[in-house]
Amino acid sequence: MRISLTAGYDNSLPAILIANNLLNIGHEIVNVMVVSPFSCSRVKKIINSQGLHGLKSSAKKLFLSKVKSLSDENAIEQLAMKNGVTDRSLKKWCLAKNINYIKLKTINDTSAIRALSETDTDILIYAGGGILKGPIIDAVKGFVLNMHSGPLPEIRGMNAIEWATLLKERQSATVHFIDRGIDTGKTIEEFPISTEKIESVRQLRAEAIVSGINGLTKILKSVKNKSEIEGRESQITKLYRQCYVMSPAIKYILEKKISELRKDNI
Amino acid sequence: MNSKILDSYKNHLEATAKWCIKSIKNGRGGSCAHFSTLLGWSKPYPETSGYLIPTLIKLGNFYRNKNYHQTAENIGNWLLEIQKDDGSWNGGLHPNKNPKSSVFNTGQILKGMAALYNHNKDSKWELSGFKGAEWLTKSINSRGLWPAGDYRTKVTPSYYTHVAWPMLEIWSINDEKSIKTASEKHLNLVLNRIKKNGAISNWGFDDDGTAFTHTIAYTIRGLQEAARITKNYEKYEKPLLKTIDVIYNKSELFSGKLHAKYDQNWKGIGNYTCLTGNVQLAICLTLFEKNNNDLRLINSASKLIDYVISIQKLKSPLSAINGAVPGSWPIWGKYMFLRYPNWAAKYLCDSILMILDRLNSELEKNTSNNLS
Repeated sequence: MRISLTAGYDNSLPAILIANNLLNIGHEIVNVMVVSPFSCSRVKKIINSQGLHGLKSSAKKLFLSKVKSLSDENAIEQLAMKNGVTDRSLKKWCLAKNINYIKLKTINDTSAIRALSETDTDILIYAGGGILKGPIIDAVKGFVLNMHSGPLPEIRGMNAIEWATLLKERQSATVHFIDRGIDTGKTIEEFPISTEKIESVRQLRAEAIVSGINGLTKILKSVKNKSEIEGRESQITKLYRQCYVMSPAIKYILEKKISELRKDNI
Repeated sequence: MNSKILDSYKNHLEATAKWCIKSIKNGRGGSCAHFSTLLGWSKPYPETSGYLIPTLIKLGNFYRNKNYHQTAENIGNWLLEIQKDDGSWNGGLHPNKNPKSSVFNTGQILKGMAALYNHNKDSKWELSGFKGAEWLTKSINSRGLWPAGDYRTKVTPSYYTHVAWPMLEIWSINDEKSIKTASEKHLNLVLNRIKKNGAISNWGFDDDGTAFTHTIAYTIRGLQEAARITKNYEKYEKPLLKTIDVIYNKSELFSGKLHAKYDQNWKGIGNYTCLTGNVQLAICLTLFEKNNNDLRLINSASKLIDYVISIQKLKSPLSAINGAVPGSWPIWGKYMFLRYPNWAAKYLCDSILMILDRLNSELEKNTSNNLS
């Protein structure tokens, strides 16, 4: 199938791993679309919602994510080693594979929509970059897949596996269709994660991401045509409260909880 | 393990508590309404001095420091001196050039009287509280409305649930049914004003339907406390689910930096934040979570508090603002323009005490699960 991929930044290792896996199982990657973290609209949005303080904090996170992705020996890095992936830049990876790399100001840019239709994209894989709106979803006739790092429909939104752990929900990643809601699209399959050896929040997150990557790969390995991918409506009609990024106080509670769980497992 | 955030809350609590004490030392009996870098300390404000009392008592319990309790009693005694014969208190600062009994201000002072009575069971607080509550009871009409003139709008605003609440506190002490009946009349009226989108009509200072987060929080909190006192969550707090959810989502989407005002469609107004309202809404979220057990609400509450403490100065060369909370941020915002109100400090203390309590209960749960 002809697949396009989104990413929130160029050195997104999860996005590189997904793209690499899908290529290896015989699919064609026709576009990799990366949202610039430094676009004016993104900066303006951060300032409007969080002030200059928020901008400083986002820049710090972005810098640290670049540093950590180079030196972090977590499950994602281990998966990269196992799969022989050495690139840490989507742009370089695309260059090496002769794949179209597009830099976007926002995920919903008309240039993104145009790229999808011009390349006859069958499926868009969402691996970050912002909230997708109607036109880009419609451009692929609703065939947008996401690896959500948490169980659905119970844990929608951000920091999903962290919230699933704290709220004692199932610890799993879910591959699902993206629709116009926030993590409300039909579920395709859920993949439990193993938490026995988890010692930190970062490790927990990495395990969930790896589970999602492996899950998506498994689903698309057996599929030749997008019509074979079926999602199921949840039996639960209630819309669960959306989760957001954990505050320092709540993150501290989670860290303590993981530490206590670790003591239990020893 | 990084407990910096808990230490930060404690540091800001200590600084804010000290600022409250400073406001009282400069208050000639009560707590100064506000501090301004241009005009210095204002006159004392009976209304907010009254509702500072429960905060002082809680601080005394938290720090195991009886000086806070004594300070609370001193303010109580001052309020007794200026209570009018009919049981009411005047509006505005004290002394007031145009003294006039105030429904809202009397209501807030009753919180102090009730808290003092519950603290040391001295009957003088009960008597004063009863007189004030009786005056409120007599002045409400059969529809649950107080007479116009006490406020800027044409009808009794919805944030007068914050008068109904202390009336119920007094009722819970002396069991006088007429006080409860009068209080519930107003609460029922406000319940009928809750819209499908969670907004509540007439919850602002003005008739245009907009409201500062300060009075939005007053409205919500009055109903929440009524639920607690009457043990009727279904009637008084459950109807606020949509309201709370809107505030939850907005707090998260704006990382704790709410607009100062909202209209009836929840459109944010103003390029500034009403910091008082921020921490008051943090309290509302924390209270709601008690009956709903969802740490996501605490997440949102902590972001509202974190935003305010990120602005609070602790080591300014101008010592009078250390531990103070500006009314607005930027400080030139329209809510309490260029001033540091004492009620902003009070609500920050309350919100930090509540969130520390909730976080500690969660931490203790982790430990006891491990032990079991």
